[in-house]
Amino acid sequence: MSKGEDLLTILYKSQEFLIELYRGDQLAKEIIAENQNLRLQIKDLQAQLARNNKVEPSNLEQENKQLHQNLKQLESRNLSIEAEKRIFIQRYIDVEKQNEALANLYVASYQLHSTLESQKVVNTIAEIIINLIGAEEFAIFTLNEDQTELIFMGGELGDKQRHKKRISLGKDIEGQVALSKTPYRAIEGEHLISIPLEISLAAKPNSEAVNELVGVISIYKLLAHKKSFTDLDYELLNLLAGHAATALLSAKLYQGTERKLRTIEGFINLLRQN
Amino acid sequence: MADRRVLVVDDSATMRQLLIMAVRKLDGIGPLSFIEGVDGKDGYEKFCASNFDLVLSDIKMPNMTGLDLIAKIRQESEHKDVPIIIISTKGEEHDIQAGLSLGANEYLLKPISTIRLKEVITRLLT
Repeated sequence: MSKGEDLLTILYKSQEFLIELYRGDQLAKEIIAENQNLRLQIKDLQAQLARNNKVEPSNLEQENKQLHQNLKQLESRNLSIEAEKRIFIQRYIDVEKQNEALANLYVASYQLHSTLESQKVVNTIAEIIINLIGAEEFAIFTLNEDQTELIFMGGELGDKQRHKKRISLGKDIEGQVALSKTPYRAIEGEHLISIPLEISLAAKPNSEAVNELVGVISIYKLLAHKKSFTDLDYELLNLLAGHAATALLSAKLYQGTERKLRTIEGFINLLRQN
Repeated sequence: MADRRVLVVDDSATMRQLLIMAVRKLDGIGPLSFIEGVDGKDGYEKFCASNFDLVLSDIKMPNMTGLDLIAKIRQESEHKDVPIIIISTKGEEHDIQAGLSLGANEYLLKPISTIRLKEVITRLLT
């Protein structure tokens, strides 16, 4: 190898060395920069850690308080839902009772209007009072033709009421109820309830209706196992009284018509024979 | 599913209709058909003439009381499992015991609670 070639080789190598040196310098700078970055990150993390160490307990406490508050709210909501549920259950029971009362009223009124015989109507009223109202001692009175007395038509009279076969208007509670056409209701005692049987009648179309008294129902004693007379019972009895009055009046009118018809038929037969 | 047959024995037509009306539809029980007996004697004749899944009976009735009716039904071994419900105004303890000891499954008092009657019938027929 010549001297010139040697020099060239040395030059190349020194050039390569310089390049490598330059690269090394770049790498060192990058490493220093990265190192700086890492230091900063470490500082940040240390600061965050320190912050967390200081703040976390109070945060948790607050969170805990919030959760407790939420729990209290949920509990109170639960209580109000429970209360609402109880109200709805009670309403359901009330509606069921009213349905039951309506169904009973339907059957009772159907039975009352299914006959035109006065005694059968009275028997049906008695059945209703025993089976629906739960009365042990009671009486059904109708007003006589002269409208001066109440006549006992049916029922179950106890020893204290046995004399009540005819009651003048204005006498005793029944007579007073008949006269005033105002129901009587006592909480307890020997005479619990008296209800007038009245019907609203108009003498002719478009004329004003007049309440006509047909009779009185009195309840003296309930069945031993029936503790009290409820408002629903009272309502039912009032509704039934209207139907009973109509049924009694219909039977009375029908029987009157039948009697007249038989008289006229007899009269016609008599005329034919002559 | 065939109708469940119910014998309703009471001398009050109103009461029979009330009972039929009250239990004509029961949740979980198939359709019910009703035969009416106007007193204990009539009820027993009707009971013997057909098969019943349930008997509802009053106690105080003409011709034959409800207690006699129950005694006669329970005398026959083939009818020992037919559920019988007494529905009566007689609510004294000895009345209730008399009815239950003769073989009635339940003793309910008038005026009847429809809700209670439905519960009892559903239990006895399920």
